[in-house]
Amino acid sequence: MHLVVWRCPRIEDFSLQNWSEGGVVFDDAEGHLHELTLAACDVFNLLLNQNSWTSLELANTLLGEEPSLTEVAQMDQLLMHFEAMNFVERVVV
Amino acid sequence: MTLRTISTLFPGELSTLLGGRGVRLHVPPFVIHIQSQIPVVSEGLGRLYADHICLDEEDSFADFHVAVLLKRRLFRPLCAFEMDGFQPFTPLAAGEAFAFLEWGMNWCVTSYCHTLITIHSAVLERDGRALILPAPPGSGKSTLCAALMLNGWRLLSDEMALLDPVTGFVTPSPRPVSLKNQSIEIIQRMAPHAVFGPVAHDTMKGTVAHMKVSQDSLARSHVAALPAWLVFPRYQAGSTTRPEAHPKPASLMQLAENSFNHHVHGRHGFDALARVVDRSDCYNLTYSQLPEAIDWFNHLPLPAA
Repeated sequence: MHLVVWRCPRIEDFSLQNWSEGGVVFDDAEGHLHELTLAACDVFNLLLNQNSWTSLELANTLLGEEPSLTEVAQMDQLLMHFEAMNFVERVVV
Repeated sequence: MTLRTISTLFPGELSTLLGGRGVRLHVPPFVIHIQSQIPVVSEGLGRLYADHICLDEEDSFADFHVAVLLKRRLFRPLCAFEMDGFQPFTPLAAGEAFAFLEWGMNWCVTSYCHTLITIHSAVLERDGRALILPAPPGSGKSTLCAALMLNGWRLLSDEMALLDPVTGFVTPSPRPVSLKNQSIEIIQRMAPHAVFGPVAHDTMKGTVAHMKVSQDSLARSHVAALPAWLVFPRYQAGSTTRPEAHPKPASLMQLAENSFNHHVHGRHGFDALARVVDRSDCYNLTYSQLPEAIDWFNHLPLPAA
């Protein structure tokens, strides 16, 4: 059975500034800034600090408890959004 | 080094110098070498830069060499702005020559000064801390800036914040405040004794005139200030004075949008702007009544440590 994990392949390109209301990430390779919600900041911070995650693992870590199917699906949506922004890549293992 | 102010030049000496070898004017933190045979340029410099130091040629380096030249003398005379022999803009009406010099000097700094991060904003200081007003044209930034200076705030600049990316301090560069259209009359009524330069009509911005900086602002142009407040002003006719806390992420995005060159510094530029937002209280301010707005600014508390 294949598993999808998510990783940030360009950790050294990003600078994340976050506050209680959310944050902004700077992509040094492209020179662009992106505003993130608080939840998105927390997820991206986890991705910057650890090599790879499944969406289940990310949701579990953020919530501090077993996530529902809906919450995992929401995490998938956020990760696909990050993928579209070239922040992360999905790896099938 | 020989130091004289514009006001101590002999009658006619300024226009003679400008028409000949030029004047090396100390416009903190820069030295700008200026030449022009157009009388309105001499008139504007004489009135608005009276207290600025002009340096003797043999002693001083100049950061920029600029000129405003007459391009066509008859039938709608035109003038051109030149830097190091290069004319980056299309010519304007000769009557706009002094305003053209001011705009041209702004362009020189934003195009070539990259040791500092330049942010399109007004900057003033009170109690040792800087207020940054980033805003697009038409927001009322310059009117507010002029009014704040007239009410005791020290002007660092009406046009751009020069942010040191290493120290986080804003370097002053006090120059005449550029006012447009109704703002000219509003400020003249507020301060009938304020010194204004030549008025340029029918510019692409409408009617434009410049107001001389306060003596205190120029006297303390060597004193940098650490940002404490970031306020995004918006003039809206008829509105009450409405301040709202502006979220820090949005403040950082807007600050970056108003920066001419943070990208030159890459990650360090982003980090420098982020530190400004982090240490500042950030607000949107909608206003229409200048005295009410000034009062709000005067009562801004310092950010919590």
